[in-house]
Amino acid sequence: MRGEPVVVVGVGSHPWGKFPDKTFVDLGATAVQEALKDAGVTWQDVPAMVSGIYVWGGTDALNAGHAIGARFGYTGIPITNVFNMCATATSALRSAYHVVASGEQEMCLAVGVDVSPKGFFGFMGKPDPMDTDYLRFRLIGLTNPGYWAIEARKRMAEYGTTERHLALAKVACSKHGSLNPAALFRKAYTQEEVLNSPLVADPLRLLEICATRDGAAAVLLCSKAKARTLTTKPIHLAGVGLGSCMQGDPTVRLGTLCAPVEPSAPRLSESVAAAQMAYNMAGIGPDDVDLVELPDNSSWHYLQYIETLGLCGPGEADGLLEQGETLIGGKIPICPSGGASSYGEAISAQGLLQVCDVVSQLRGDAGQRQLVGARVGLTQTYGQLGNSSTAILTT
Amino acid sequence: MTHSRGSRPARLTQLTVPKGNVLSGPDWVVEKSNQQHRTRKERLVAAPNENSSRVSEIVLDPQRGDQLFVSADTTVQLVGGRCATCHSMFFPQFSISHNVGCTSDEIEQMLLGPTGVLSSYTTQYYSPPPPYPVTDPFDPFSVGAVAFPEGIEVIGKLVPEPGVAFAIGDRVELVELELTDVSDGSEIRTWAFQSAKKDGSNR
Repeated sequence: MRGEPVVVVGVGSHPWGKFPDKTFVDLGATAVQEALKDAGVTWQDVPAMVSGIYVWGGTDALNAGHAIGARFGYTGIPITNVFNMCATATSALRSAYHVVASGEQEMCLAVGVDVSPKGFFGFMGKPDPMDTDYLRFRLIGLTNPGYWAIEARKRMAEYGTTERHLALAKVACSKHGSLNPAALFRKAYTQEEVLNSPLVADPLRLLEICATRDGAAAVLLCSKAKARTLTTKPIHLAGVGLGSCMQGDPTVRLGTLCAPVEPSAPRLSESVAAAQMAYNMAGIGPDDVDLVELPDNSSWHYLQYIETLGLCGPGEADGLLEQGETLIGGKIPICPSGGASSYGEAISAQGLLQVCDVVSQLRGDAGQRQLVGARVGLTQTYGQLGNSSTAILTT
Repeated sequence: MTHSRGSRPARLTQLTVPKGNVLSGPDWVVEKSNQQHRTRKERLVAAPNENSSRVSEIVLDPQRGDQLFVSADTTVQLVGGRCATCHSMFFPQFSISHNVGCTSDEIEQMLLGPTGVLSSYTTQYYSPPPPYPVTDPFDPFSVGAVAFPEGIEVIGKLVPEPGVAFAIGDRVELVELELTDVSDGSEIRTWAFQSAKKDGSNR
């Protein structure tokens, strides 16, 4: 069931970074204001909102949509707050999509904001010996980059990926990031510079793992009829997918301690499921995609997700990267914004920031990093406990 | 990912060395704090050599005593779980999952080990966040993913042997690792992997 077509009519974001003098409401309100301005509407025109929340703050953070709404004045509209790990922001987008596609409202605002502690993400909650996430931190001390490193080394053994490939992924992202005035880290790195950065969890190095940062992004969706009154450059939200993991997935998922030796499901099955759902909704396949904003949390993610999204066969991403095909101007530009590698990662906002970047490409507003003739863009998020999301946008 | 050393109070980890076979371990590191000498050492111990088998529970919370591994003589095994009907496997035993379509509640214990094959590994060069017992200075340590013949892969600390590099495909054996967090005196006992001798004997 597809419902009514849904159009992105406004996008906005607060810069990514660390803002000790600001509250998350300041960040979220800036993103909302930018999105409303982009669409040419006011807060009073917004009939519904879905907000991602974040787990590092207090009650206000858990009720983020209401706290951000208060900044503009309560209007009595339906506000839903969602949390879905790395898929939080895109889950907000998906809920907002349904508000419009179902015909309930002609517009809906999706917003995501995140303010996180610096450094490694640690255990959240009370010590619980029956919580495997607690056990992994307490008894093993395996960090998130540690999990990714274990996957990266498996990949090296399976496909011949080398440390130079891992470094090259950062080089590619940083090259794009250097062209993006909104990116936080704008230095274009050489392969040698990346290889000279300290090992964090070998084979992954400091420059090959995205930093955690704070940020907020907002996207205003509306019906096709409403869009005609607001814009001459409608961008369609053609597909939005949400996936959970499948039994038999060989990935040792963050916060778990085991996986099957013989797989009976794809690696990162939650992301495969999310992407498949979005492809089906949009009625397109990987060959139709012109650009991808994928979750480059680490260089392993960068290579793995090119394959997970079906953009090439297993083990072929290294070759695409080496041949420059993942750069702007290549066959399939990966993270033309510079990705999380250049912005940092603000978990509950990242999925919507990706949508903002794809929309600017499809509108032809991407400045120095503009792709020629891009018509179909895909965003993909990672998933801590098997929740992943995908959005497909078309001109 | 960023790392800020010194942003939290210094905590030292003292690893107790119970009576038993000391297998390997880096040198003692002795540090002087304001009031006292504190000693820190990561030392690997086998389960005590007793004639009768004993089951040792890892006690994370004395009120609950959830069991993750057992030691008998010098043999250490992980306690996983398996569904008697659909044969899904999981570790720890309470982390129950089923193959699609199965609703059985017949969960049985499944002992894993004492040996397996290293399928991947990493060495972490920065201190993990709490609740991992923080040491200062921090010594890098390794973590491995080990495949057991039953068909399940489990992660755990990987104990190095001086001068020997890890390699995927290494046969490893389970050992018990004990540490005491000097900041609060709590005892932590965990499973770990170390290279098994080529001839399969325990040392």
